[in-house]
Amino acid sequence: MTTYLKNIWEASATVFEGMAITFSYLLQRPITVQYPDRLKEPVPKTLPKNYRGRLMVDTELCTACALCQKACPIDVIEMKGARTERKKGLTLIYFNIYHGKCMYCNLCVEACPAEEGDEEAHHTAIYFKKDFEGSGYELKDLVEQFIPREEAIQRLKEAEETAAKRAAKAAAESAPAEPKKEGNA
Amino acid sequence: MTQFIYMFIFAVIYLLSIAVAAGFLTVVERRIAGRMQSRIGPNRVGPQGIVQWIADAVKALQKEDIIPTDAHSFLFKIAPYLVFMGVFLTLVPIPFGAYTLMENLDTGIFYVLAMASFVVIGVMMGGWASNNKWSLLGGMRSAAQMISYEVPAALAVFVVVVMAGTLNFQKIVFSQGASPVDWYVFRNPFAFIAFNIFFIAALAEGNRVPFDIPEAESELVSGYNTEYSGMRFLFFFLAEWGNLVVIGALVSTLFFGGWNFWFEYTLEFSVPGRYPIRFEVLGFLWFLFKVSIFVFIIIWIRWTLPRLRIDQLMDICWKYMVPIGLFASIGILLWMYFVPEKSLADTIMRYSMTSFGGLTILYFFYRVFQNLRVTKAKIYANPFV
Repeated sequence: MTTYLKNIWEASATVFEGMAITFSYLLQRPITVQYPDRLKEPVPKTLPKNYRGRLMVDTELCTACALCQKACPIDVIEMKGARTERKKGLTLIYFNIYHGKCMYCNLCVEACPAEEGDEEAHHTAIYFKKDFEGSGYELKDLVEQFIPREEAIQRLKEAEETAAKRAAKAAAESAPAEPKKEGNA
Repeated sequence: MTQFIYMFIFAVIYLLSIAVAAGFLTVVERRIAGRMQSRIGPNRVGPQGIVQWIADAVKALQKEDIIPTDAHSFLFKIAPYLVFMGVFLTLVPIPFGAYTLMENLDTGIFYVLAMASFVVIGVMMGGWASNNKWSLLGGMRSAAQMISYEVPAALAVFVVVVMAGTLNFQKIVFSQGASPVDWYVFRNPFAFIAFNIFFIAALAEGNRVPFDIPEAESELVSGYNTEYSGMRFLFFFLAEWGNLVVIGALVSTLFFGGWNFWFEYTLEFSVPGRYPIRFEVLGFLWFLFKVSIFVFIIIWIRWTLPRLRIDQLMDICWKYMVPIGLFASIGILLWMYFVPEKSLADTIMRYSMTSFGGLTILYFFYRVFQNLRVTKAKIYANPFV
């Protein structure tokens, strides 16, 4: 009889306590984050400073030295620099990144010698954005051309002309001297 | 003929309102479940997801109506309608107001208990006709459970019937008053016990957690409705959520004063025009409020308690609820004999029971806020996120 009454009491008491716990959850704010459309601020802004998202290239800053291309262990970067009349030094002809292959190892960023900005907004010519939303329907969607295709063809032509001019000039200046090879041949 | 047309129109209105209420309750249940699990729940279709149920229904209508090759086609087809009919018919004598009811049956509560058994037939039929082991097991379990739990439910109803001296729902409502002191649940300890037994038994009859073993997802795939698809499956669901309304309405009518609102009625309810129409509307809203509180409690129980094992279920019914129900029904007879209504002992008991109920609720909220303090959570009482 005692066990019987105790069972009844325990059943009621535990149900009571359990329902108090679930009701307290009803009064709390859900922890769900309503990604992507109902957010107070976009997710990239809330990410830490050293977050590695998609690779980004600052084509103005880039010196086309190809150190990143050499540093990359899995050939994510496909780039070419050559002399043109646009600026002193090498001009970037094309710079493609295969995001599908990238493993976010940071080796290219460490290798990059071109830097810009102060402590706050410091970045190298190739760097990781905080943006991570880059899915595509085909593999080719994951190839990003930082110099657009038409522009790249234009630059390639210019580079060829410049190379031809320089070769002609060098040949005129001194016949025995070898024509210098330029760019990233 | 005219009368028949009127009856038909009102039946359709009733049916539609129950269907809409059941559909809306699915969304409400999912939202409450979400909040209890620190989620949000469906909030994309319409403002705060309130028309999610329409989207679900449209989706279910588009589905193919599959009938298994070896199933008993006829029984398989009619089973969901029987289940839905069992739930819908129980609503016929339940008063939503002085005039807002389908039929003022003198056999009211008896009729409800009888009609509730339709559900058993439908569920058994669906389970057997599916020609599937899971379905059959679910149907058998359901038959065992529902038939067992009809006994304590009937015993609890007996307590109310003895106190009211009638089976008629309107008279039961009238014999209770508007204030909590006059409600049957707080009249005496036996009625309080009867309320608890009836509520638990109603949960079990409605296949609600923690008594949902006929459709235990983790054991029986889905139980008696495994083979159903499309609209027929939806009918089972409609019945299940319509049952929430039925349970809430029955509990609030039998134990919590029904639609009885604001002041004492000494007038004869059957005389039309004697009852002010503005109180009719208020009484209707007051009744809906009570029903929605009980529906909320049922949903809340679902997301709190784990499922019982079949032997535990039978233990609770036959070893606990039936003896306690018998105790309450004998106790109420003695109480009615020895303590006449409006005597001093009766008044003291009413007020002490009411304050006991109030204190329990206060202690409950004290426990809730203690839990909140322990988890160091901030209170966010807004139901919308």
